[in-house]
Amino acid sequence: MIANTLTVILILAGLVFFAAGTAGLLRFPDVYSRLHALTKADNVGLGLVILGLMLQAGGPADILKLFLIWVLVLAAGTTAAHMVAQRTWTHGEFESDR
Amino acid sequence: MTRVAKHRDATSRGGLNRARARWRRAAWTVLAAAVLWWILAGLEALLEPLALLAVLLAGAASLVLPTGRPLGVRFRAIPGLIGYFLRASFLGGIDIARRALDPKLPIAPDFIEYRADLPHGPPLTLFMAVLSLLPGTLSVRLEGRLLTVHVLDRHSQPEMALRELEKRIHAAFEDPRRQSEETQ
Amino acid sequence: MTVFYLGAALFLLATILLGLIRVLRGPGSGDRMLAAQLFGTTGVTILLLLSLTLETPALVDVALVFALLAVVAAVAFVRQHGLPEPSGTPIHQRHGQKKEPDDDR
Repeated sequence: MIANTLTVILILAGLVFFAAGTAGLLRFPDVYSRLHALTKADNVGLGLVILGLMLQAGGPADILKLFLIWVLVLAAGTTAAHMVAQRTWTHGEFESDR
Repeated sequence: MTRVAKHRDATSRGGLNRARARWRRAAWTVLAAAVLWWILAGLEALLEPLALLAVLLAGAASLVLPTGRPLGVRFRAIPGLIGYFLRASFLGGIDIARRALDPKLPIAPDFIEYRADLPHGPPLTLFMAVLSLLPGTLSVRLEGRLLTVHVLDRHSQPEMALRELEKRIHAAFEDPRRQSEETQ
Repeated sequence: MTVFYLGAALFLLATILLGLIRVLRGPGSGDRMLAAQLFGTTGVTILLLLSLTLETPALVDVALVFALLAVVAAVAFVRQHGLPEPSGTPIHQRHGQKKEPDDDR
C-alpha cells in the first residue's frame, strides 16, 4: 500500500518533468536552449518514473534492468545532445533539408 | 589499492604477475557477463548450458585478446562522483523545468569558453557528457582542451559549477601527466 | 493501479503529440532531430508503463532496445550527409583566434 502510494507520487512527479521538457521544446527560442530542456528534464522525468516502477518490480533482476535502461537513456541523451549541438554549431542552424 | 593500480604494478613487475592480472581480468569479465545475462534473461536462463558457455567464452576472449591501456580509475572516488552526479543532474532537471514552465521564460542564453585541465580520453569525455546534465550548461564543441559551452543563463556563474565537476572527475582518475610532476 | 499507469502513458503520448508541433515548425533540421530524441526517451517511458498495464514483462525488453537504439538515431543524424566540417567555423570567426594546439602528449 505504501509502495503503491510512493509509486503514484514518483510517477506523477516524473510526468511533471516530461511536461516541462515538452514545454521547453516548444517555448525556448533556439536549438541549444531546446536541447537543454529536453535532455535534462526528460532524464529526470524518466529517472523518477523508473524509481516508481522499481517499487513494483518482481525481483532484484527486474530492478537492475530498469536501472540499466535509465543509464542507457541517460548516456544516449547526453551524447545525442552534444552531437546535435556540435553539428548545429559547425553547419549552422538553418541548413537545408536535403 | 584499486584493481587497476594493482594491474599496473603487476605489468611493471613482469611475466608471472602479468599472467595473474590477466586471469583476474578474465574472472571479472565472467562475473560481469553472468550478471548481465541474469539481468536481461533471468536466473533460469543463466543456468542453461548455452548461457554458461557464452559467459565462459567471454572470459576466454579477455584472456586471448590484447589488453588495452589501463583506465586508471580510483574506485574510492567513484561513489562520491555518482552521488554528486545524481544530486547535480536532479537540480539540473528542476532548474530547467522551472524555467520552461515560468510564464516569463527567464533565460539569457549565451556561449562561454572554458579551458578544461583534464587529460584526453575517458576523463574529458565523461566531463563533456556530465556537463550537459548539470544545471544550465550544454557542451557544444571541443578544440584541443578549449570547450565551447552553451549556458542557459549567463548570470548564473556556470564556471564555478564546471570547476567543481572538473575537480571531482580529476579525483576519480589517475592523471598520467600528473604522476611525473608530483614526484618532482 | 492499472488505470493509473494507463493514464500516465496516455499523458506522455499527449506530450509526444505536442512535441510534433516542433517537428512541423522546425525551423532547422536540428529541431526535428530534437523531437526524435523526445520520442525516444518518452517512448521508453510509455513502454515501461504499458508493460505494467498490459502485464507484458517483455515490453521492458523492448524499452531496453529502444534505449540502445536512441544513440544510433542521433549518430545517423549527425553523419547523414557525410560532409566535412567547413573550414572557418564560427569559433574562429568570432574571436579571430587560431586553433588550440593539442597539448595532450
